[in-house]
Amino acid sequence: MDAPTSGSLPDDVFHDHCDAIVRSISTVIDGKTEAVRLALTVLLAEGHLLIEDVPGVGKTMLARALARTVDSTVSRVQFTPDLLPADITGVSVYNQNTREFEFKKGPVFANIVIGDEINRASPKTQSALLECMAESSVTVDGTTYELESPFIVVATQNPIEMEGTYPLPEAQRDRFMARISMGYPDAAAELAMLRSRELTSPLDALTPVVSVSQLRELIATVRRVFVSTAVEEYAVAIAQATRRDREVRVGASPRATLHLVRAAKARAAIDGRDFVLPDDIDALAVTVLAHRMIPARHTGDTSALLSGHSIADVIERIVAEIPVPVHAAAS
Amino acid sequence: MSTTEAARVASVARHDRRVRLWSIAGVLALATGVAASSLGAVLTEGAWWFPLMAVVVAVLASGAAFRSVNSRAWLGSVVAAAGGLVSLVLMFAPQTAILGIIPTADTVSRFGQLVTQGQASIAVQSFPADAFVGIVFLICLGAAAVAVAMDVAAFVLQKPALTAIPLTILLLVPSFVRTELHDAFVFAATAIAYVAVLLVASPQKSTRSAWPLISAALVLSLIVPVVLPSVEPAEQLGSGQGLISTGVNPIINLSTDLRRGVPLRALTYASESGGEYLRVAALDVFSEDTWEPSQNEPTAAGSVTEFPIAPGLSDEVPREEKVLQVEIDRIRGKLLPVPYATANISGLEGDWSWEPDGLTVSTDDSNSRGQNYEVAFVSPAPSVEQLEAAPTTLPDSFERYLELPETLPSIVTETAHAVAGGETTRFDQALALQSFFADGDFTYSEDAPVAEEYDGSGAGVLGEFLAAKSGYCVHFASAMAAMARSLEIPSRVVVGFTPGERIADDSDERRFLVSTDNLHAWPELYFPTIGWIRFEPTVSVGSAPRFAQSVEDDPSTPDVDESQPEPVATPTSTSPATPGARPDLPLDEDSSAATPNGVEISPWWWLVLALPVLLLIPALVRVTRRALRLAAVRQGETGAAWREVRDTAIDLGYPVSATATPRQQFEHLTEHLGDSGTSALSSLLGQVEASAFSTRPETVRVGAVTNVLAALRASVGWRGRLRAALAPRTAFSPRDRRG
Repeated sequence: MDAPTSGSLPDDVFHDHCDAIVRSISTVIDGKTEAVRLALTVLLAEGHLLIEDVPGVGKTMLARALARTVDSTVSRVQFTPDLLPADITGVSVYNQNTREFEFKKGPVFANIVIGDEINRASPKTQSALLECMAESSVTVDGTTYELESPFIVVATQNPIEMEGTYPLPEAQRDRFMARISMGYPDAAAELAMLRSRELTSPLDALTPVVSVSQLRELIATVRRVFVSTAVEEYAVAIAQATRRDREVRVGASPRATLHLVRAAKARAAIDGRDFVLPDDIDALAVTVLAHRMIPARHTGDTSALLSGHSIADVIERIVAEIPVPVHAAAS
Repeated sequence: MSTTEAARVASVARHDRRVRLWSIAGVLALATGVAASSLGAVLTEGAWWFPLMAVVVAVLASGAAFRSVNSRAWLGSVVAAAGGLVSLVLMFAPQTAILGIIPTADTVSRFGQLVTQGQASIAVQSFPADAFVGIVFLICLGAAAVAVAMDVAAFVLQKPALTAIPLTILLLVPSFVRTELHDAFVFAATAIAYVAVLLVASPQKSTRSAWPLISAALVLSLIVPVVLPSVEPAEQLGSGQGLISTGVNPIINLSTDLRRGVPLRALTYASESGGEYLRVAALDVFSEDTWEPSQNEPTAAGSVTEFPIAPGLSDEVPREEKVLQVEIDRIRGKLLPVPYATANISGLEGDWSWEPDGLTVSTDDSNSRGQNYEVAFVSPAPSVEQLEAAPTTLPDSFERYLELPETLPSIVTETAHAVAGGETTRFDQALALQSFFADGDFTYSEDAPVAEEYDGSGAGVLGEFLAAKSGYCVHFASAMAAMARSLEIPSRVVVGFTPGERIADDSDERRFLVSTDNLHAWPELYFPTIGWIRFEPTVSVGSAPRFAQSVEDDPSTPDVDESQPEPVATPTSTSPATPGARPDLPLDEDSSAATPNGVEISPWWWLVLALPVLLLIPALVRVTRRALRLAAVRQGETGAAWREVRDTAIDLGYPVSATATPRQQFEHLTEHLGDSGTSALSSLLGQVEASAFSTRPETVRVGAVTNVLAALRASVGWRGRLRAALAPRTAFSPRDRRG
């Protein structure tokens, strides 16, 4: 694949870094190891992460913790209906001293951008994020500004339709590598949270555990993970099946297949493997594919079908139906 | 990929698809045509095959043509059926159809007529039947149905293996008509054509896993002809007048052949001495239903160049040595017409052997048709005095010639005693019986027994025959032989030909033509020291030998002794009086080996015999598949190892999803395996995953695979293992997908 030739880390170093990040985030997010691991997977796969859940379960906390464990530039944008595109990308202002227009960089110029309640902004503003997320660049007044690498958007949104919210356009949903949800904590975790948050915000105690350059090395290592023809065929077969399925109106895009394989590489690396297993694909299929697909005959609530199956159910069924190719690697 | 490139790829794919479609259709047509040629056993000519093929090709070609432009498979089969209909209309009723192809109500009624004609034609003809238009129509109709079934199996169901069903039905048609009609060659050829169907029409390119089916088909094609008695196929090319089949027991077909409207030329022979009766079979076992040949094995050691002395013939009896030149024309079978008592035959093709009691001649591997041979024979010519003086004590082995079925109507015995009870010698009794039939108020009729439902030769019909006093040779011969037995005279019924018509009279030879009209049955009675003597009880047919004619009724007949040339002593003057005395001719050898006149196996027995084989097919397929996979593992294909483990687990009843990843399947299985099994499976999983998904070249040892398989088998009870072996669930699962 697109493996760079340098920047790869030895296995143990990679592992240590990953462990450190997971442990660090887990101090603020109690009992949500799976969500944390998924977030890390997306981070290492250089994808954008969408965290969707009801208010108050720690979406923003996860986003901020993730940003804070990496010693990088972080910006946070609270999306509101009156937010304008320029509020994200930046504006050109006239400098009286130099008598020139000067570009004032918006919050998007950061390694990690946290977009809080992203579905509260108008479609116009939301689409301003589009170019940034897809191209890692910003164009203002005809000038294109490259964003720093890595550039990762971690957005949160509420699933419940509320006044003053705009559903995320399909095109933008497709640019998120994965959508995760937090879920309510169990009783023990909730109790532990009560005690630890009484005095201080635990977020304040978080210190970065990896630098930006180390993050780049981690990402480079992930890129070198081997994907066999069999696994590629498997991912493609799943994507194709979502497009043919009766219960689905819009299936997974080719970009979705690409994201699926990239995320699988990150998952394999975190698992300590230098090759992807079909199991990686299976494990990530719902997380990576569900938010981009549109069910047929949906009732308004996009996650539920008339048949009572959610898109996640459909994906799980497809994954179970597609046979796993087991044949010798192409090498 | 640019648009033009995409278009090019699509066009290549379309072309490939069409080539595949047409090659499947071609191979299906081939297989149907080959299987249909089995009908040659019941039909006389080969010409019917061409319209049949035209219909088959029409069906399959219309289906393929439609599918090459439209991908709806089932609609293709509808179009195929329509194509078959159009071809039937074109060939059989073009004048009734619009534009020659669109059927109308007239077409339907014409088809109805043809079906009726065909059925009638089948009913009145004996087999092999002449293929009149009605029969050809029925055949073509059947062929169209078979071709549509093949089309559905291969294209709609995508299971080319299922084409075996229509092909088998087609193959078995002759055996439903008559049990002995099978042709090993057609079976084998059809099996090969079926293999071709499997190879060409299998949904996936890989042909490897077709081999289990192929081997099963070939095994079946080898077994079937062995199980079924083989019969030569009817030779279809010829003047188209049919054949006389001697079959297993010639008496069965005799009446049918006698009733032929147009007589068939059976054979011609040249004789210096005059017309001769020719014997085909000697039937000595008398039962409720029929006369049958006994199951003595023909003496294979005895080549036809030297026959034994006729049983019972003693040196004192005068005899004539004669020679016949026989040319067989249209008799097909394993039995050869020869005069009594044959001394040697020359000029035969194939291996022929004689049967020591009846002196009949048969073959296992050859055929009477077209034979041209010279037969030298010794015709016994005893004097009336010798016959009357014949002793009454019989050789021990002759009791079987006196056996009567218990169901024999009492009228037979009563009549025998009433007719001949007053005579003093056995010979006079026999003459009295003969004249009772031949000179009494009996009439000859080929139809009366059929009309009155007492047709046949068995004991069951004799009472009715004696009451009705009307029948044909079979009845007369059977009745006289039965009555002779009731008078303690050994008897048997012989089937053969009367001397026939003289057709040429060259200076030095007289030629006779023998046809189906000359088919005949007559009794032979045994007199100690004389041997077997032919009698002729049938009214107005044939003639008894002079010595067996009653002097009272034919006073003009010169004395037997005077009419015969000087008796010639045979070289083997020490010949014993009974055949049983010859040590090299074991008479009652207990042998169950099938003879040409031996076992008949009905299709139902065939099914019973084939059933175990059919039931074992899944096991066979599964075992073959395992062997192929292990062979693939040896060649480094680790995926095959895992597929085998997965399928074995499924066969053993574990709920393993065939579409799950190896690791998910592993987690399922470890719940049921012991520690050693789990570790073996775990290390195999590691090797399979690394080999299939990583860059590390891993090889799997076959031993590691068989260890895991053994651990899996050990984890279930013997019932589970037995079920997995005999009824493996994965025997017919989709083919292995290969990279």
